[in-house]
Amino acid sequence: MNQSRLIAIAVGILLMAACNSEKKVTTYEDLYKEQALTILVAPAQDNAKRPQVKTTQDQVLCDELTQAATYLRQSCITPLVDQGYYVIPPLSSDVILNKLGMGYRQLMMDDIKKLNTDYGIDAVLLLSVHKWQQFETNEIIVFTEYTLRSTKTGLELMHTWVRGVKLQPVDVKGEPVELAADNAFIRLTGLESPIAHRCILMDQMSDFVLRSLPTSASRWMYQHDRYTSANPAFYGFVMNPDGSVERSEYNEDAFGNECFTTD
Amino acid sequence: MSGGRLIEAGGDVGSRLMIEAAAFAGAEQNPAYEVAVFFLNNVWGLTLPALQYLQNMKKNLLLAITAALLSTACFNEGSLVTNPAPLMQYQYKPTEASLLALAKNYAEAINSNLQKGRIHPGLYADYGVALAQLGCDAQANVMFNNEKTFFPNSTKYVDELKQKLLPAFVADNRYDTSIIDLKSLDTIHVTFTPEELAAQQQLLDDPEYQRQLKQQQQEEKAEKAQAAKKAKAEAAKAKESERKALALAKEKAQKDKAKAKKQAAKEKESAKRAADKEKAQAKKQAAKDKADAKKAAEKEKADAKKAADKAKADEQKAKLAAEKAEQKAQAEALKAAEKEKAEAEKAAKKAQQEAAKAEKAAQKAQAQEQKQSPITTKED
Repeated sequence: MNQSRLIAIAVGILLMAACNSEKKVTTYEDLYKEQALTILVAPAQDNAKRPQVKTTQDQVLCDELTQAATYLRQSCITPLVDQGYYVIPPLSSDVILNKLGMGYRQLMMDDIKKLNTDYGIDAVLLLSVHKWQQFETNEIIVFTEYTLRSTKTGLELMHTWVRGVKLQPVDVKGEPVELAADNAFIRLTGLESPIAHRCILMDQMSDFVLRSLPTSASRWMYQHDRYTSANPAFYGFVMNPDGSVERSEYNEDAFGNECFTTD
Repeated sequence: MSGGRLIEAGGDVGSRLMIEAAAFAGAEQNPAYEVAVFFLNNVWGLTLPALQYLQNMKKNLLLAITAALLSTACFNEGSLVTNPAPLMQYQYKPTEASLLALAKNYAEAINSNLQKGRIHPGLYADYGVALAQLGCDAQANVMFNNEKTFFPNSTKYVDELKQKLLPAFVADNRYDTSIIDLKSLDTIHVTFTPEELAAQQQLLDDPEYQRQLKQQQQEEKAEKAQAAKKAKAEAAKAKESERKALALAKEKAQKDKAKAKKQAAKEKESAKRAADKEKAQAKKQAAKDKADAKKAAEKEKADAKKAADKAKADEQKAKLAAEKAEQKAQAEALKAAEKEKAEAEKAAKKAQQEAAKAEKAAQKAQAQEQKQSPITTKED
């Protein structure tokens, strides 16, 4: 009995390992078929719950969350460009979407062929921020959703849900210590430290998510890249204080439970 | 300064890759590792030859430390522009003032990109949109055309943008990819929102702000001077370290050469020894082979002689047998002939006897006939 259990566990582990190493050619089958090149990054949909504004601090936090959600869109541009895609820049995207009267809902649900026929856009990247969490002062958590939708066929070329975590080191008193990278970002942008931390998390998370996309057909490594492994659809991403990152796979239910249940 | 990604999609930190990229001969051409190379070159004062030398010496510890530091000291400034704040600010609160700040930011980014010889896609297009929204239509048109020039696949949407924002310039395809004069943006007048004006006024009225501003300016000036001094010192240091690394590399190369020469001589000697040994062995083998061959030939000859003798004896034997057989046959033939002759004689004698007998019988019959003839005449 024990032996059969062990065999069953081993088979399960093997199957899980097989799932983990799914190749891009399988995960992004439609994207490979369509060979999208030009991508429009839509403004991020901010679904995160805000605290009731009672004090100035609450207002500051609300502004912080809004700005961080705004930053999500910006953080997606360079990773996509690095993968060989042409990304329509934000101001131009806004003009196009305003002209067509398209918002997140329309881009997600409706027919968006017009974007392809009139503007030469192959796919639209839709972003959502679902929830923010903060434990102590040194752990920021965000739940986001990335959807890449084809303008030619309306198919979802990529759909990823990520739970991003940024951990900050603490000193002996338990106070968070600013890292050199964080300080550099703060100095460069002139942003307040809390918002800067959220932006850095967005940056690294988008980079991690979008670099899993296949390189565009315009790149020489396109063929080789087909057989590299892809990220799963639901996963957790942790930025450790030492600069390393960890990825842990989630199943849909566990992710949904964490993301959509209120604290 | 975009790129410099630390994190691989597979989930590993890119320190190893960054070391390899930084120490690799073509690293300077790899935009993804620009930050690492820049950091190693300018902050640590290590040039590529020095890095390669260090790598050859297997002193990867220094590089590993660098990469480890980089993994915490770098971030993805991941946007079109050097400073992502103005774009964020404009998207958060879109006003003319924030748009102008964004336009300036775009112009700086374009100039920086042009100096690097690499243009970020969409940069000209967005700068064009910003200028169009600020009322600088002619300049905006040039920027749109620049985007089309650098990125032909943007033509469709840029044409649509021109149609929407600059209908008067649809057919105007003038472009100019030279460095943008940032002072031209200072001539743009924007209307501030009442909140912005109030905030500005509040700041201007605040003596503490004035003091801070003055202090900040002084600090900036001091910082600049210090940075220049530091840069100079670092450049000198970098030059010195490069010189040292080159000297070390040269020394090492000389040592390597001598070592290689020694090794080559040793190898030659060893090869010669091996060849001699081989030759001697071959000679010995040849002599052995010759002796074996001689022996074999002698044996073969003896065998042949033996075989010939045997054949001769056999032949003799056969001849004798043949002669004997012939004699026997002759004797037999003679005997047979004698027998035949005897038989023939016997047969001839017998035939003679029979002929005599027959003659006798004929004589007898004649006599009898003569005896019987008178009777017959009587009867007639």
